[in-house]
Amino acid sequence: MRRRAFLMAAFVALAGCGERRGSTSTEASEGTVMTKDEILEIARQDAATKYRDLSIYNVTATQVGSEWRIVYSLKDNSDGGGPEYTIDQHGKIVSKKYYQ
Amino acid sequence: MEREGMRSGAPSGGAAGGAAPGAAPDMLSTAELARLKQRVGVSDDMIQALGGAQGLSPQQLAAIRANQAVPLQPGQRAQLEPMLHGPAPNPRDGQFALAHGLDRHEVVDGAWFGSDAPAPAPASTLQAPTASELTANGVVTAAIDASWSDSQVADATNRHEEGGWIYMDTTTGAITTRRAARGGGASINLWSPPAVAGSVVVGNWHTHPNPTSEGWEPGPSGADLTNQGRRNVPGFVKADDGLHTFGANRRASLTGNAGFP
Repeated sequence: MRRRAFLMAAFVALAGCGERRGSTSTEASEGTVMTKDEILEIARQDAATKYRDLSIYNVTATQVGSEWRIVYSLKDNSDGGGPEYTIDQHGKIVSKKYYQ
Repeated sequence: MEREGMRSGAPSGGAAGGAAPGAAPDMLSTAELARLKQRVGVSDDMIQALGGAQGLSPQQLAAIRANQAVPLQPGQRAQLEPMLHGPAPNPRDGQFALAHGLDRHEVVDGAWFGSDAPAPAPASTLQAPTASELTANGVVTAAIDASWSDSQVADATNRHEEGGWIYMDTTTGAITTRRAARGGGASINLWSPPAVAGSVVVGNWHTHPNPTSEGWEPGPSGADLTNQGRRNVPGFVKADDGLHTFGANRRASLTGNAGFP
């Protein structure tokens, strides 16, 4: 019985993670602190709507206080630019810039 | 000789002209310019060296050097008419009026009319055009406009960056351009200007085709600014809000590497 309850709790927890991964900034729960990977995924989803090829960028994620700074920079020395985001720990995009 | 500073990062609506908005400036046509040069026999280098100090604007100097139509200031055409349409000059009689600000005796003695006075060495005065001179040059603006057209800005799927390089012939001062390979949606590589015989790179440009109305930044990116800082020549970005100028104001020397100095 105790083992069955443990499995149920684990299932619920996993299901919750899945929902968060697919959420957008506007859907993010303000009470949930997201992981770095989840923050990166929010940025990636937004960037993919503007930039046709994200494979040409390096992506850095830096936590500054309660916010994340996500920067896409070109892998080579071409002229151009990528998106830059400030995303809070709950997954809300606070600011974004689309450089070219 | 230089009268205008670089408009760093600030967009401009297009080629500088100096005319009042809506008023078409009187232009000395390329045919008239060629006739004038032939009749008075003064070199481009001499005009470049002395014209600025005598009232010719940077835009006029750049246009004269590039054999482009020259925007005229009020009154200049009247002064040029005798040279354009009058009798053929006697090299020593000094019968022609000079363009606005040019004093025959103080400025062009020995150059325009071939007196015995020694002429300055033109090669030592030839220098690369400034950013503002380049944006006033018809060859440059035509190349940038063509790049903008080729960027397919109205096509959300296929819009992409275009660009190229600006060259100056170190003997004649003539301005030419070369186009770079097609860029990506938000990037372009401008690090390999092709060699142009007798010329050096004096600038480069590229387009930012993605619209500001969709949240895109029109001006130069951090990478654009970093790269241009290493190139040591003026850089230009054409975007939907105008032309952005950044980087060096002019190539410092015509010697050295023919590509980026």
